Amino acid sequence: MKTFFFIMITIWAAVSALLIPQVFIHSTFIKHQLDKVLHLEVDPAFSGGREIAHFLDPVNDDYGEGCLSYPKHKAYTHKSGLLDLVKYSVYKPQTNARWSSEVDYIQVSFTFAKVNNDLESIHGFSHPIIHLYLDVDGKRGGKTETAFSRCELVRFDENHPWDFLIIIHGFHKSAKIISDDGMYQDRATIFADSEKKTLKVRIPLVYPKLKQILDGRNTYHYVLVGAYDPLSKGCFMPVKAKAGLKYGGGARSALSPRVYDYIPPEGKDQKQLLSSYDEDNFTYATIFPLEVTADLYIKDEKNIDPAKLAKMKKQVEQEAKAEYAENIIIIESTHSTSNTEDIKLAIALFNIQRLTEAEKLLDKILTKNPDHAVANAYKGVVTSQKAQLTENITEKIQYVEQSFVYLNRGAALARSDDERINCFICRAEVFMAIPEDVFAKNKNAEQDLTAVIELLEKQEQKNHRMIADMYIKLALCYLNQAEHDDAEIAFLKARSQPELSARAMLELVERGY
Amino acid sequence: MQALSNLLKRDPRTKLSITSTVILTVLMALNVHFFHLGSSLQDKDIISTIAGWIMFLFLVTVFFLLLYTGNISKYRRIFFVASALLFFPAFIAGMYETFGHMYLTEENLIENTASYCHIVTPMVILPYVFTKTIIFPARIFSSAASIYGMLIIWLLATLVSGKGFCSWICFYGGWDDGISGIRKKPLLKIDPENKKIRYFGFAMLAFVVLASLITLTVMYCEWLCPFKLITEYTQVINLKSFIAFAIFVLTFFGLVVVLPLITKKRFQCLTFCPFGAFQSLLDKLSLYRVRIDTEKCTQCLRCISVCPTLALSKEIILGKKTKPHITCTKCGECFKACSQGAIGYAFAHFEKYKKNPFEKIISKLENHPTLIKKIVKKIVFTVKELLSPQSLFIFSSYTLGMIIMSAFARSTVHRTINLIVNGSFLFQ
Amino acid sequence: MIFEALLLGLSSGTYCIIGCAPIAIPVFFSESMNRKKNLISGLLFFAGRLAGYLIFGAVMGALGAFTASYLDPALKRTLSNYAYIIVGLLLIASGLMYNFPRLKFCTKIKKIYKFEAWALIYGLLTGLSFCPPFFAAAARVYGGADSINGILYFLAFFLGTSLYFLPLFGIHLIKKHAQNFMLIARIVVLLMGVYFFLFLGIFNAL
Repeated sequence: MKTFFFIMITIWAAVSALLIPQVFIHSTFIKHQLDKVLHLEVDPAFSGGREIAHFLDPVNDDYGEGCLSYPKHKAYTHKSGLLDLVKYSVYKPQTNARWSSEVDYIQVSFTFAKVNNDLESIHGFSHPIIHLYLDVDGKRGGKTETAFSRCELVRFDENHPWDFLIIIHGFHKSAKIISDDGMYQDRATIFADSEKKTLKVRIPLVYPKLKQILDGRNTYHYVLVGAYDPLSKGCFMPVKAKAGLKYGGGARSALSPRVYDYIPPEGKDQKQLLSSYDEDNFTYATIFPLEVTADLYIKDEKNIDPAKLAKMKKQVEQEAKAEYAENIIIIESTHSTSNTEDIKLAIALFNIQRLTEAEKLLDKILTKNPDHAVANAYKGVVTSQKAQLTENITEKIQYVEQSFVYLNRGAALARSDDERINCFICRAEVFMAIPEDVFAKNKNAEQDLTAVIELLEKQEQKNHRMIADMYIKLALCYLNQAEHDDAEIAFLKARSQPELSARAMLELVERGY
Repeated sequence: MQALSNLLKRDPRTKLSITSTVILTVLMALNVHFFHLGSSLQDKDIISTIAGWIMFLFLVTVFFLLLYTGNISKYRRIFFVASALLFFPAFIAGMYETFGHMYLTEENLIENTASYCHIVTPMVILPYVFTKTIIFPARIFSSAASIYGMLIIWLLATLVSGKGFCSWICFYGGWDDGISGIRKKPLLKIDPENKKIRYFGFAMLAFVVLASLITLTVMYCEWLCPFKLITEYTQVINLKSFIAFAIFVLTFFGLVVVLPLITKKRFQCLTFCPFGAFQSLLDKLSLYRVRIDTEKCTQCLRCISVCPTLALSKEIILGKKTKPHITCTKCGECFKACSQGAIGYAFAHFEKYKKNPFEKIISKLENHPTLIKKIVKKIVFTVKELLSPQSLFIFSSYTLGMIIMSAFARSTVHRTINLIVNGSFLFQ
Repeated sequence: MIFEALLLGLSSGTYCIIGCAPIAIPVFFSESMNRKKNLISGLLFFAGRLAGYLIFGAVMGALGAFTASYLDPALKRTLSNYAYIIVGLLLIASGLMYNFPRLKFCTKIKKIYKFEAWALIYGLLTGLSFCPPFFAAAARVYGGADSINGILYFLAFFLGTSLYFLPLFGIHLIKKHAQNFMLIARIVVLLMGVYFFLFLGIFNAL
């Protein structure tokens, strides 16, 4: 018996010694499996507390009352999205915070569709100014007019007059807090991540009226985004009928709010609210706040109708069948007479996973023309798939190395936009498929996909389905790098496309978009 | 010539045959190739490729010499010290390239981008049980210094090496291990029977775990860790952070440099590191341990003074116990000291089992030495050596240590060559 | 209402362990591994804890600190700092006494040292400062008007939280290494004392 156990232990020790490298090679998979059991998360107190409210704003709605345009200053040209707020989050108030300069605070965050630092602001956000008005005690106190007259040109709901204003922009080290009566002024810490396009602000809970939110009451938030102009009243750039260097355009009236983006409460529309001014009575547009309930925790459950989901899955299947059929038609009708025909055939074979035949054809193309960009790219993809099929570590690394050679060659040789699109997509897919922990190539995939999207957006006849698919791939690439905010923006951009494939729709719906 | 013969001097008690050495070295070379060389071969940068080859040759050579000579303690120490010396330059350079400075700012903490170090592990377990969150602001998934990354390394290392982590894998331990080996004799002798010193590390573990629990913050990292000096620390912006920095400096020079140098004991790892004590408690899960053959032992007590972690004492040797104290890090120092070869690696839980089935087969074959039987005997002997606890333990621990080194070693060598050729240690 | 209090105690008792165990564990197991002796000391610790809650709650309630239905974190921090300093000094004294019994200073401490009394004091100081759920419960009790029901509510809450301390008595099962455990616990007492006094007390007050 003891001999038997001795032999078993010896075999187990020998096997485990040989399997150690495999654990690291498959570490990404192991991590995700572990996560299904453990669901580890970092104490939210370090990053500002657990999110208690989360408001998504549609992409491409940075037009204020409906027709505002950006100023003509070169810092704004061809850069839409700079004043487009896509998400506003509120976090649970923290007390006795560890490793933080603010000991008691409430954190909020603003995520933009695009960020640029042409004007060299401290925080990397050159363009927007945010006015966050807070009502902490309902009708009891506060003001319905804005803090600075002739600034945003709006007024507030009389049931929720504001008590505190937090002024946030990229040019001051910290955000400024002022109370409605002017008795309290303080600073709030800004944490800016221009790569993630997010500004986080920690509002200190020092002033007694502000501190009382610790009792768990509901608070009301008005989030207004304007174009930063240090010379204007309240630093909100004015808007006129026609845009100029120092003012925005598209304003229909002298009372048009100078607000490019605003998050309305559910059931209300930004355009409608910001155009609700009354020229006859000279009253500004009235806006309504977002309600933030202190104990509301964001749940990850997405309530999707199962019948709808099943229908969508069926549509995906039908779409896949149609694509398969299309590829079969190409295969049957194409004759291998020229490189153009051959590559078309090779791609069709690849799409239906007849990889051996595809590879033969690609080799044939490359023998005749070694500088064929797309053939190199697809050859790279086919080679990388061989790496996934083999268990031998040395073979794996050899295949991956070979695939990089072809993919990089293809990308370097691509001349036309179509070629570049094909080659970059191929390369990005391989980068995303290989273990991030060993190769860390998702960043490169991100660059390739961003380039593809730019190329697709430039085209006159935009292929919206493909753009949406690329945004979803980009979002998945961000998720591989645990960049959740960027992933969210990419998913929102996919959702904002006028046309989506069934697969893209299903992906977005399953993720709650 | 003399130097070469010293280098290749073999210890008959622990050496492996040339056949076994070559087989294991080839297997190790394949692993080293994948982890240290593989990803550099697709880089266009020639310096990166050279750095990869340097690491490959170094690691394979050290491994070969370790097995061939049987001088486990010497070559293990070379490997271990190399790991420590190669870690911190790459880490510091990485910090400068990513953040522009070596210290952590609030931005790093808010974005959860602090590097998760294995020492944090004992401090986060109880708070995780009570709050279901990890009280350390690190990435969950991506990169080697992520929470899941370190969790996998820790689990694997615990099952394979147990407390051997502290002599084969930890990229901090090489500091006090190397420094404690500089002097031939200690200036200050530490009594191996001193229980307070031997178990002080466990008191540190309990203290750090309880203190972390009451504040829900990793207390050791915040205030005590000597290795903050060569990794990342919170920005010194007020008196409190200045005091913390001063403590890091004092503990580094005191526990990592001065005390190991004058006492020849691994003071930091023995008395201060909570992770070391934690691994001692988990050592029961490991496949291997150090075993004392009480029949061979002549009780000369030479092994007691050489042990750097006070794991051997008169209580163990004169009490005829077959395993050292809980602080044994499986470093192999005592193997060399024992003239009888009474101490070695063994499978855990096989205290009393002495009959190796391979020995039986070998002795049967010796009675009828035909050519075929000679060949079979050689094969069986080689298999016995390959599957011995010593070979398997060394192979496993070296592999694990080598894989962890792959995250930083080539980068340091690459940067050093870059410094010589291009005048810059940083890549940006 | 009493049932609600019990549930509140059960749901937040883990936070009580976080606050109390780091003091309770080293203190009890440095003195003795005897189950009966530690049970008595443990009960005294709980009694001290309860007394701490009731005194603190009554005083704060009388001062109207709970009418805002939350406790000012700045006030809580100040109180905790003082409590940490006092507990720290007591732990340092015990730690020195256990680890350096021959020191003159320590022989003096031994004369006034009565473990049961000190267990009560530790409980009192712990109850006065560390426990986060206490403030939530106290806010509900002392913000209201009826004092008898308030005290009963508080007792029920206290019982709910105390259940979590029962597993600590399982430590007595470690008979094999009891002496080593005590040796370690005695060093931990000193280290915890220094930590509370300096790091959580003095440095936080700076």
